[in-house]
Amino acid sequence: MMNVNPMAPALEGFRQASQRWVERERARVRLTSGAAAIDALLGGGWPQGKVSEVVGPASSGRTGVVTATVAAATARGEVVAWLDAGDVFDPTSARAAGVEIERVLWVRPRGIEETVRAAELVLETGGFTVVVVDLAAAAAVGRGAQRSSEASLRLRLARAVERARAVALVLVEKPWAGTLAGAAVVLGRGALQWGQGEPAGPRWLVAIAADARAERGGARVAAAWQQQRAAGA
Amino acid sequence: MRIAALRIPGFPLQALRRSMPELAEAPLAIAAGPCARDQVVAVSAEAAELGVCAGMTAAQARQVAPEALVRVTPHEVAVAADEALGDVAGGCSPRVKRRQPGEVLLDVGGLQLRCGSDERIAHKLVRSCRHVGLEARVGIAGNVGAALVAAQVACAAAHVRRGEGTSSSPASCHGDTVVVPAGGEREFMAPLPLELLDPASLLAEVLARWGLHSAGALAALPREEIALRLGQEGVMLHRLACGEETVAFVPDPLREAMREGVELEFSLGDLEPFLFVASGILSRLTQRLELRGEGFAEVMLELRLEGGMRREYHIKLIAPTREVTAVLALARLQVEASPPGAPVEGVVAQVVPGRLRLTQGALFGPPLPAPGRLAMTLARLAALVGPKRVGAPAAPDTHRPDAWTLAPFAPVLHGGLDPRATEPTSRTASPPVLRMFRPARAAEVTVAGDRPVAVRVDGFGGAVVACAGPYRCNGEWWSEQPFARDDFDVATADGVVLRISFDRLERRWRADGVYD
Repeated sequence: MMNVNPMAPALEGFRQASQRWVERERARVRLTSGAAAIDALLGGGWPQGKVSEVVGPASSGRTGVVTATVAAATARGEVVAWLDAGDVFDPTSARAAGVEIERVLWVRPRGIEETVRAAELVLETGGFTVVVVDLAAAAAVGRGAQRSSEASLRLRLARAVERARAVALVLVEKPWAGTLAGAAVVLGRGALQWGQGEPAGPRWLVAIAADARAERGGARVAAAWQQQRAAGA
Repeated sequence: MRIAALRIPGFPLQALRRSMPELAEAPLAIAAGPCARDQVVAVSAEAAELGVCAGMTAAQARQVAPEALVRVTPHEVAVAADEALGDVAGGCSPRVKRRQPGEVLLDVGGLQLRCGSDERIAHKLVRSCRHVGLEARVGIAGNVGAALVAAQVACAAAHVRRGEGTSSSPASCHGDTVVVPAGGEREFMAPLPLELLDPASLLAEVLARWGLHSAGALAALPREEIALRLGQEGVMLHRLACGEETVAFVPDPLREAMREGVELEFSLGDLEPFLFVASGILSRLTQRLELRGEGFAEVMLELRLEGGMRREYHIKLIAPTREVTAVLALARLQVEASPPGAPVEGVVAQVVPGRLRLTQGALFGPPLPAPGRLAMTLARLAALVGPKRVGAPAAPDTHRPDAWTLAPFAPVLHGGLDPRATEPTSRTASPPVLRMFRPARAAEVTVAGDRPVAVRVDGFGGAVVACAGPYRCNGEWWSEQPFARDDFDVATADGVVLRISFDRLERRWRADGVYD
């Protein structure tokens, strides 16, 4: 008498579903981050329709990564939304980094819940290819929501991003989106580079180096991400 | 010169029916005022069949025909209908003169190349009036006086057609229009009764005693004798009877704002009925905007509340649109956020029109938000976070650091794709980006000489391992809030790179942001 595993059909169904999910993720369109090093980390860029995280402490280059993505998007003629929960966005340095700030919708919500609601409204409109959700300062100033409600906020954001087929970049100090993140780039502080024109003259900050690695949605390799001023700037 | 006269017969009646379409078939009589002794000034055909006629008092009309509705046309409704008539004229010619409510003159000379014959222009005007809810009569002639008389004849011809007989006139009469051929004004006027020329009552009495009943009879008399016996007034009437110009055509200056309003029979205390009324007003405005090829750029909703108070809601759209639903949704958001506080007795909408932006999306262009939906989203975001916390960064005219403000987000939504922008850059770097502290945080800075050697801000910082600066800037010394500061970029021992500044006027240190 043959032994038939009663679980075989269910296991086979699960295997096929997993296979389809992997193929769908591989075929997901990627949006360039504006920098070759980060694109290489992510296997082509940020996945569309998924929440992506940029994680790191202050001065690790995370805002520079996001700004480069925004600059690339606005250079293509697209409009971008920057949801600034901590009111930290600096248009001066963003413009110096190549962002066309006239194409940036700057929203200053208070707290994570208001930020997620604003993200839902922007994503429902359609037409915004990149939505930046800057939560780093929100958590730092103690306006974060309770843990149980944060889980529902993450889910709401992920669903809104998926429906809109946009790229949502969440800026945080510690990982926030969990398994809902399609990609996560973790940055660590690196060396600084200073420039000086004349021997006795003033010097300026040329570059902030950072070590970047992809935790999810890309190659598990480290890369060097360097923020530096353009020569002569 | 060719002048067209647009006249709305029974204007108060038509104005009321335009704002209250449910009265279209009702036996309606319009009184001059709310008192019982006020005279009836306009009567609908249905009320006329019941025996009501103009000149009766309101009380008499109610007695003769109890089922007839005796109403007073509210001022705002009449003004809106008159402005709609002006918009119809303005949509045809830029030279328009409002003569009196329900009557407007326009210069149609030169339009024949675009519209064809004068008959076609007249029919176009009638159709356009019908589009905004008014039945008009049009007369076209070589001068103002003859055009007005031609419009009168058109009105009378409509009555004649409803009764019996025909008018014999050299002018071409088609439906609701009368067109007097160029140079044919005298011949047109000749058979017309003198009453159509609207003489003053004393003058009409004198002419009747003389046995003159037609314009041709008057025109046959020598003008000098008319001047001696009847004075300047008689001369003007004589000129009119001869089909000559009596008054110069001076067009009105162009007006920018458009208004529509309604007075409510019952006060409205709920949002949905109010929005229903507002929807009707906005729809009528849309019809007028279509004539001008324009859309809603700004809408001011003025509510007249119980107790005599007024409340205004100002709706600004990022791009002109004719979508009533979009404007209504924005109005809903504003009213929900800030309710009027009392039942609404009347609503007036004033519109600043704007040229519609026609954008053609490129086939391979970037995805962009639709203007109507974007306007809605911006309004919802403003309701969520506050109107001063949503917009596009705008640099004010100053060198003061971090003086950015927010301007209305209105990107140029054009298609077109720069092929070079799609290529990923080979750069691995971009300029350092600052994350601002708003407001700037107080910093504890230890200084050696004139340079910081230790910085502590809100629990992070430490010994300074590298420093760049000072970058000195000052400005607005002529104002009440001058600034003078030295900026430093410092890297501390814990790895954080800060932008700190020393305020030379207040003599204190601040941390302005952190590089990230």
